[in-house]
Amino acid sequence: MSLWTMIGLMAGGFGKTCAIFFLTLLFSLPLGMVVALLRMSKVKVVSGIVRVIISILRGTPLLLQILAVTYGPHYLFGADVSKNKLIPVVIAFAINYAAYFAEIYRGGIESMAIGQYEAADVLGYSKFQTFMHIILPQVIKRIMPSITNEIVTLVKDTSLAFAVSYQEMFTIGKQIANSQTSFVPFLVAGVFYYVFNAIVDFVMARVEKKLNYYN
Amino acid sequence: MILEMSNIKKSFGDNEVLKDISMHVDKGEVVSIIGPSGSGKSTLLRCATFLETIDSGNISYMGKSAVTTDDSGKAVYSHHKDLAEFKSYFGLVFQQFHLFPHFSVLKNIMDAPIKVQKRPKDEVYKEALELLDKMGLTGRGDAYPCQLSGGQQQRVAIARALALKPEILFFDEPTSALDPELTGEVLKVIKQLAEEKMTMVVVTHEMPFARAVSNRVIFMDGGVIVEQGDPEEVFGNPTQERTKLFLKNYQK
Ligand SMILES: Nc1ncnc2c1ncn2[C@@H]1O[C@H](COP(=O)(O)OP(=O)(O)O)[C@@H](O)[C@H]1O
Ligand SMILES: [Mg+2]
Repeated sequence: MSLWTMIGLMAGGFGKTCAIFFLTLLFSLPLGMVVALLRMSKVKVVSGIVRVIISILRGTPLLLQILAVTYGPHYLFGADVSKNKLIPVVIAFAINYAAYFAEIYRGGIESMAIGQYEAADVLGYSKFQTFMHIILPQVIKRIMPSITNEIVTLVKDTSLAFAVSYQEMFTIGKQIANSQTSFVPFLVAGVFYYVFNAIVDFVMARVEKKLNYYN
Repeated sequence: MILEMSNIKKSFGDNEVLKDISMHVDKGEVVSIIGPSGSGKSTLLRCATFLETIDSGNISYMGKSAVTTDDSGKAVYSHHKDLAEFKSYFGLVFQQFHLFPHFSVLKNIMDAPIKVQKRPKDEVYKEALELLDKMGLTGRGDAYPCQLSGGQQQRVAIARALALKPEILFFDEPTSALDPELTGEVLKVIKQLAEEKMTMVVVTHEMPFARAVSNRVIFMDGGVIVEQGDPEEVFGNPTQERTKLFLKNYQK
């Protein structure tokens, strides 16, 4: 098999790689905020439960979580493993990344000086307005470098979908590597991820620069 | 009477910080609060502005009760909605400014009148420009707080508070975070407000300033008001030993 044939086949899975990537971000970024707010809840039971869930999600391999979400329903309820594996894969990714984003959000929110809340309170802003207009924009700027880190990791993590044979780029590459007993597909995959992340870095640098209009 | 606080008690754990304090502020009055550090001056302002909750006592603004005390001696706060109305009566200028760093100077001033008071934007804009002029910050509306000196930031903070047209403005050591050469420009602005009969309560360590602008001086120590009265009396001829000692140490 020629190099170009390999690249062509693997590129065919790139759409699915992108699907995991963008859908994960779409769901995990907002879900992470909900989780962060629950984690900071004054109701001890709520924050305690969420803390345990986050620690499990961060303390066990994403690979296991993908397997659990994809095949768990079969073992538990005898449900058919759906043909469309994108759904369980994205669910697993979104939940896992939400846990990481939640901790980043929480760190950002807790790093805000109390004075910002007090100034807003005296000026008459509601709690909701204070959070949305005063706190959140500053938090987003502060945490952007950490968010970028997670996004870069996510690009590489999409390859974990091979575990459930979801036909994204790396899964296809691995299949070719096996059938052709060649290491080349892995090199191709490496270049793919590297270029993808170069683009992510470029975009995020632009975003961070945009947020740099104040110190 | 704009503000009346009576029998205010406030403890942090075992530390009784305000011990049965009563004070009032009339319309157009400028009241200075002086006293050693740790005497409860900030706590008193923070209680007046609802940033701290009092343990017992009464607080009323414009003759309306915001906080009362029930039979068991516990402070009872008005409902949330009413407290919002009370909050519209006062403004507070912090020692550390606490401007919103992600807002331009103009937005710092205009945002609350628009978002909180729901006033029309063009009207608020016009007033904001006037306030900038008044604060000696003409043309700095598009700057961000980080681009301004401390003295300029504090003047923006004063403009931000004034934009909501409060009945009374509290200052907690407005010049203590500033380099000495920048205190003058902030004190000048406060002095100008005093001349316009803005009702103000100023916690300060600037004794000559307090003496010059206030109608009344309150000396606090150890959570009580030790002495209060006309500034010439309190500064020139204090009756209490503790006041004398404090002022003597200050002259050094
Ligand atoms: N949030 C707080 N928690 C515990 N103690 C506090 C708090 N705020 C102030 N205090 C204590 O209350 C006392 C009075 O403080 P403060 O009102 O800041 O005095 P001042 O402004 O006159 O220097 C001090 O002993 C201080 O340690
Ligand atoms: Mg103080």
